[in-house]
Amino acid sequence: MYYPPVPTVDPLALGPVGILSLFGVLGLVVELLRPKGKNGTIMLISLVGLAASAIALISDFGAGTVRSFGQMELHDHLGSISELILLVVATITVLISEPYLKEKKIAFGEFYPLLLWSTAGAMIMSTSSNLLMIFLGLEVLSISLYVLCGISRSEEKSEESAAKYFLLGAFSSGFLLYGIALIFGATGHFDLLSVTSVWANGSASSHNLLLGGFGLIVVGLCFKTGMIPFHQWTPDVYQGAPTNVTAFMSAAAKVAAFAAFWRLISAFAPSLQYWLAPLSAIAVLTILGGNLLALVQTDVKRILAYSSISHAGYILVDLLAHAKDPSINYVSMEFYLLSYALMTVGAFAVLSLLAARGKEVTKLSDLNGLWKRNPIAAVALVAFMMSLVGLPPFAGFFGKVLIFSDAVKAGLVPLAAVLAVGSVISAAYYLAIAKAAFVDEPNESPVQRPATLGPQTAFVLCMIGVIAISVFISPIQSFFQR
Amino acid sequence: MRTTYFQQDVLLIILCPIVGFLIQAFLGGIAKKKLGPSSTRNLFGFMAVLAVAVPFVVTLRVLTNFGPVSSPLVVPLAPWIDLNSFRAPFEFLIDPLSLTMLLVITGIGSLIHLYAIGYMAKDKDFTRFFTYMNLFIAAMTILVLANNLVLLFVGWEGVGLCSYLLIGFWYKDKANTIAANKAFIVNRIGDFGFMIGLFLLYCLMSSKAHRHTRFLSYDVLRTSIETFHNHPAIVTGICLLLFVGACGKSAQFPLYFWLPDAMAGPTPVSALIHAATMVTAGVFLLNRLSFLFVFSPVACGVVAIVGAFTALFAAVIAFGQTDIKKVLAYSTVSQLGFMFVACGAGGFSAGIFHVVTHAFFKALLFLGSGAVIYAMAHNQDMRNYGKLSKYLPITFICMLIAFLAISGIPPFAGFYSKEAIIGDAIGNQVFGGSGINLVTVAGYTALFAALLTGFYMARLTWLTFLGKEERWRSISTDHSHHAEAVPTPALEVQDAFGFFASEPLQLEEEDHEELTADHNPKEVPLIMSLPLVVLAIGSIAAGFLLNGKLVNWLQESVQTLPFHEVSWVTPAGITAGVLGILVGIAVYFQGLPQKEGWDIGKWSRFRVWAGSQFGYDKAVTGGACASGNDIANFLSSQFERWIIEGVLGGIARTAKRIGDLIKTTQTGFARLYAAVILCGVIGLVGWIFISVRGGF
Repeated sequence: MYYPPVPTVDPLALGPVGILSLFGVLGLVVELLRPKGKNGTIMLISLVGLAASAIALISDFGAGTVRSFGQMELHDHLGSISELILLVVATITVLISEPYLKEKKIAFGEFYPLLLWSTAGAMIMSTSSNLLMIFLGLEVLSISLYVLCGISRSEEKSEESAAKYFLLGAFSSGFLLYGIALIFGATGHFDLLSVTSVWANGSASSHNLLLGGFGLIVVGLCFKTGMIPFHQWTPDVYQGAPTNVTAFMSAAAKVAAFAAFWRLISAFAPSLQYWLAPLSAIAVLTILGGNLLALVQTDVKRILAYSSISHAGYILVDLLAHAKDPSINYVSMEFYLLSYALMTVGAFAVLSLLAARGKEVTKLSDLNGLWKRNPIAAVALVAFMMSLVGLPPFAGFFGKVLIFSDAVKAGLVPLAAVLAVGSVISAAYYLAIAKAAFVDEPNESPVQRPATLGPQTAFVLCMIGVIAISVFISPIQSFFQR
Repeated sequence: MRTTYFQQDVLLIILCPIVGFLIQAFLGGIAKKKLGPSSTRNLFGFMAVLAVAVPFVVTLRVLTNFGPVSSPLVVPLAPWIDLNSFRAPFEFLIDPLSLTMLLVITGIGSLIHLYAIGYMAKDKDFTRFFTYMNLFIAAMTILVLANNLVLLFVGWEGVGLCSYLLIGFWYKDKANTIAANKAFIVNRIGDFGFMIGLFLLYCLMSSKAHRHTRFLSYDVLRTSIETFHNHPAIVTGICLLLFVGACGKSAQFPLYFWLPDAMAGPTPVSALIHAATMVTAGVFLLNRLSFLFVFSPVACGVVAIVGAFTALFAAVIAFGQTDIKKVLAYSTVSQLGFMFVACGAGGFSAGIFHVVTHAFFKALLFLGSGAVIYAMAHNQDMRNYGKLSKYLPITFICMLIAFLAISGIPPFAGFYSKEAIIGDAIGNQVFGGSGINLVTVAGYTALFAALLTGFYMARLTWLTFLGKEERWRSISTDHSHHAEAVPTPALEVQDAFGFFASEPLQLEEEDHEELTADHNPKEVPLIMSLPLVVLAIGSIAAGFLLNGKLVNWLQESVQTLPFHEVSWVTPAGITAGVLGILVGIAVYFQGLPQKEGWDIGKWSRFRVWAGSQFGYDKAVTGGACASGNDIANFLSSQFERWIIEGVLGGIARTAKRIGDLIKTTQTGFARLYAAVILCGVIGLVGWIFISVRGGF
């Protein structure tokens, strides 16, 4: 009889995720007891949970690579950094949410627990090289997001976005799962670690299985990160979902999915010759398509949705550079994700301010006169836009420089060129947003909503962050590398 | 040990004016509300003077500790630009040159600050004035103390900024803001040259394998003689470009024309910034880099000839001016020319000697003219003056001393320094041998300019203080005198931004009372006459006390070229000065001659021409504005239409069209999205397997 060995259990490794989930549960309990419509306590609990999780994470930071729970959990640097970025994103989202939800009359208490669980899912996804765990994390992340997208129950668009997201998400999860099954078929393991050796020693048929599995998993992750041609849900869902959810989703889903993507690409690097061309094609399509489509939008949320598509393309270039030249490590990608998270979440935070009288107000022309109504928000918005374009001295500039130089170093010069062209195109629509906020006069006087402390803090923090991480780029790089 | 000791002193010298500046800037407004204007004036005026006087005392202490024969001392304070290949820290240099300049800046600076308390007493922006003044002192101390060219440039731009702010101090009068803009823009041309020179020097130094990364610091530069020796052409280029910068800041010929307009600022500003200190920064720069200039005879020749021409040119223009401050402005330009003649002749330290003596007598002249203007209800036209010695005895005596000093009469200060300059220039050995060369020509030109100096200064003195009638008594109330003022070169250019617009003044003038026929001039208060007297003592004593000694002392930090002693220079110099004065007296002892009176039509054509700077200013500024307009028009009509609208606009439209095309697939139906995903899956997985099988 076979006695399976008792796996190593390292509760600390699960600390951050566990704390977050438990605080989510606690929030839900409080939701039952609290007076109706008062979310202050739940919000506080969420913030405490996020802080506790961050402390647990940092206290164990840089401990080296640890595998526990029968290799299901992988505690390494890439994962820890991703988790940290996720916690930052979640915290900023909590800060901007309450006034926005109140304004839209959807101040349901379950919002915060769902946000925490979603974050926990994303963290699970980014701290495992086991495909099943990745899938599990992805589903925890996604299912919470489906609910969050549809949380504005009375709004058709919100419901539509949730339904679309769910249907297409389920559809693409199918591919992902099938891909996992193929890899299990080839290797007998769920762990990506086993792929390399099987590839090296395996027969032609196992190669076919592996590559097929790889292709299908790539589809699942491309769907999650919004790569063309798996991107079409993105603008619809981003636009329909409540703005604070969009802010969270645009950053968190990408951070988690790219961590998994990175591990996948690393594991499959030996078979690069077979898939470099199609994945490069996806990158080119994503960068150019995302930017060109953003150019013709008039809704700010849709512009930012397409912009997030194009940024996913830039990051894919870095992944491919890593596959080609393994000496290129995850630092550029994580730096890019951090800067991208700050500027995108910040931009959506400014947008969430515009919602008034229960309505989404996200037309480009609705930004007109923002400079006069809320100068800090307008300045912050311009900083985010400049950073998204990739202008110095903002973080986006250094992010792009890092990816660009990685691509050139790996010999992917055409991709680097496409990246540059994409950035040039993107300047047009980003600066259009800045112009709308600063230059154009409003047609009628829009509804004035006084900015509350939370959102104001959130986007000022984001703005400081966007400048600070570019100033302290080398300490941050060495911190990421430690 | 020694270094740390000096560190504190240097820090004190630089921080005092900075702290003063901050106090004036941030507490001035509050104090005015809380304390009322009168006590604010006393308190903040006192603090402003203190912020300059303390550095003066500290400099004296440094001087005594430094000793007469010590070698230059580098005082590092903090890192600044810190790259692998290049470093430019906050480091300061204590040597005879920087100490000399510091004493002039802080010493004369405190006197002028003191004077300004009285002069600006009635101004409602009293603290704003001292904010700028203290900031100026801070920038100027950084300029002279800096031990590398990058830090020097910080001070260089800082004083430029303060100059701009102070020229336009009475900004409600549009003419003042135009003058400020002009000073700023013209200085930009000079700074452009300076920066290119700096970059060129950087290239030269960084291309050599150096042990030092601080290679723009003077102590490193001075030891790089071999590099300079091997690249004479580049060194000449660097010197000439840096000289362009010096021309801008020190108002030399092609770029001199901002300085006369800069007299729009309050008179203490003219005395401090546009006569005694800032405008000598160019001379200082040449002295600092004298070890570089001695390698380039060509650059020296150019410096000397430009200086000599400026000295002559400005002296001639001075004859066509009736505004007392304009005369002094051109005289400053002319005297700066003398200093550059000295530098070009290789007698750099003689230039600094003249900087020192000039600082005394020119500051005195300006402050004296300020006292006159103050007494004459802010009317600056000499044709309204006359016989003022009766009303302003102290001012008159002081001005008389300064007049004799600037004219080069022994034993007054200007005599010694001017004689040194002309002697250096005529006996120079820049080109190795004797005989006629450019620098010698410059020397003779300077000698002639010295004669003119006596002449136009006699004109100023007699028109203002002496003569037979008190001409303001005949002013009628219809302002006819103002209507026929000398036509100053107008900038008749249309420009959209109003940088040089010469529209009639629409804004209210500053609240000056008018000069009327029954006006009785009053001597200035003690706080203003005290600086006059101190400066007058300096104008007498600075010459013979420092003669020879200063030049010897400066040898530690300034390199000079040898020259022949020319025995006849001293008598020739004295003769020129005396002759000039005698001619001046002969022409003006009667008072205002008819052909220099209110009716411009009676003026000789040459004088009118000289008065309008021979059309130079008008041609340059007018030409620059007009050609700028032409270029802008061309760009807006042609470049805009074809390149921006045509090519770039075309690309943008194409991009939009493609975007619109792809957008049609975004139908909003989930079923279509799923179908697209399916196509993507087939495409991706298909592509992978096709490449596994080795292509199609």
